[in-house]
Amino acid sequence: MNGPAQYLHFGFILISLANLLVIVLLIVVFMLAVALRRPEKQRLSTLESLPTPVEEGREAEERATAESEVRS
Amino acid sequence: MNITTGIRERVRRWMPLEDLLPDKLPAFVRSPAYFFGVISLSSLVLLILTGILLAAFGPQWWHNNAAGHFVNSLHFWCAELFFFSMTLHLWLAFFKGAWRHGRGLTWVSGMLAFLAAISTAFTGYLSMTNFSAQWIAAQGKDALNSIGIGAFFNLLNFGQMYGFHIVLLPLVIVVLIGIHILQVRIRGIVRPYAPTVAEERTREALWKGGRRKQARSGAGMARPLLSDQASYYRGLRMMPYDLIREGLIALVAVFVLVVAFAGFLSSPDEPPLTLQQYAQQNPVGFVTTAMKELTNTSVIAQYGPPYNSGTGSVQFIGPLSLQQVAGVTIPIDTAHVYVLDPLAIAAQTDPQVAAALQTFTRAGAKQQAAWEDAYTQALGKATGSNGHVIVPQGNEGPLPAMMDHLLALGSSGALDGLLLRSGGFYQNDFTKPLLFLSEDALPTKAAQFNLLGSQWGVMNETGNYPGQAWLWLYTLGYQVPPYNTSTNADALVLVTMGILTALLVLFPFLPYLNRLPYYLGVHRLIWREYYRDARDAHTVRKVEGASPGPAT
Repeated sequence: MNGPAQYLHFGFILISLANLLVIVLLIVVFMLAVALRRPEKQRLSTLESLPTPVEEGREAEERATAESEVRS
Repeated sequence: MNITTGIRERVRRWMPLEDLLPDKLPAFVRSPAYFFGVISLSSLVLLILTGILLAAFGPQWWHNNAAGHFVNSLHFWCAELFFFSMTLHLWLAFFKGAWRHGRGLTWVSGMLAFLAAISTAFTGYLSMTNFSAQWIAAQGKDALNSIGIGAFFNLLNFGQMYGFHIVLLPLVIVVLIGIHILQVRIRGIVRPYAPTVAEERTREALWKGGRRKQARSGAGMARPLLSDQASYYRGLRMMPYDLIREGLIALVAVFVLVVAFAGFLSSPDEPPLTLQQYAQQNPVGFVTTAMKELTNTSVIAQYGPPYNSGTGSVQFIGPLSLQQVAGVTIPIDTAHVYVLDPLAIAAQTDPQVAAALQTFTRAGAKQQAAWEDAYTQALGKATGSNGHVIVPQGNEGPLPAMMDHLLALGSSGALDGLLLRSGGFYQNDFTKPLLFLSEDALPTKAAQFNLLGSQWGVMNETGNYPGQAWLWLYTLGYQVPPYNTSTNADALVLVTMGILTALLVLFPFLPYLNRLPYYLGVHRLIWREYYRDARDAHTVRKVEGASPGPAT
């Protein structure tokens, strides 16, 4: 690794092979992070986490207030 | 009033343990898009641990001892992984619009931690005490001098940079990352974007205004003011989560990875240049540089602040030169510092040197200039032989004898020590020897490693190791007009990067622009299951005759 470095020249761009590898790896890992999912062992019911009627009422009220604030 | 009780109750309301250490999180966190924060944190933990070892045993250990060099390699690869994962964390937080719903401080603290990390890495490179450290110090000084802070933050002063690297900046990082993590835990993870901009704006008002209203109405006395995760996550599918376990797994994984990298790839460690090596390996180059220092024609002799009142390297931002405003704070008279003073010390024990020096100093300025011109011209035909520089005989006065003795001081290693003297016993400021080497020896060697500014050198590392790829934009500035043709390139690049960095730090507060991630649409891939579930729920409600409500 301490030997003479390999560099790539594209027009005015000069980049070492190691730096290019890091940048390519960043992009690849980014794409994998967006695309992949790890297996889900246990998932709580959607219903359990949905709002109760009382909460829904309060949320609707808050939402209406917020919408009027946005409009104004 | 009991202050202790007051603080305890406030902390309890701000940071309820259920929110600080939750055992349930929204199901979308199983995406790897949520991994990189904890990987950064694990890398930081290992960086600090390996850094403590390196600081405890010191530079000789990490350069000359196999175990020391291995720990140095661990530290190097931890830093690489830290920046790799921080960069991904930053990208993903951007595409998720992670500053929404009152999370501006989370973004700002994370960005500031990233900037502090860059400064820490920079001072780390300066603390490596190898060739990279010398070159980065010699190059980087121009940028800091150009904005007038080169004397306060003197890259050539190893002692100062080492202190910044191992104490001050790590403290700043730990505090900023502490604030960042607290913000994430207190406020929770941001919800996915609503399907439409209008709906998202409603949510933004709801979650920012909702808290304000809660505080105003006094409801905050019963419920936490900042943390309101039970309400915030309402309607989201949750999953069991073990934060501590995830953190430990990440720590072990990062440790295994950096041990593998350190074991197989080691770390860069090109030995530093010394004045002794320069004098022995290139005697003509050494004497030529010394003559430039004596005749005040070197780059440093004409540099300007903070070294002298020259104008050769003074940079402007528009009509203003911060460099000149800062003034001469590290005065260096090159003729005395590099030639006359070292020879005066040698003259105390060497009558020949004393005689030559006396002849030179007692001569008039005109005579001195004539000798200097003649000797400088003769150096063009000089050859090095057995530790001496041979020049054609001419009217050079005492200069051949003076330079021969200076070369002897350089070759013996005495000049390395003489230039470190600063009146005290302990010496750790390498400003003077590094400025001498930066005239010719350092750039000549740096060019061989593609480290010059024109070679995108800011990004590069010696050998085949990755450098600072995340500084590509900063490096790019030096390659394109108007910067690469400007005499104010350092100042202009720094100002440009400063403005861009400030915009990135304050991105959550930039109207219209802060909606960019929504239109880029990457969030639809990150949270695709969430949007699919939301669509399904919407359809079910419609079929059952209930009001479908908003789509999420």
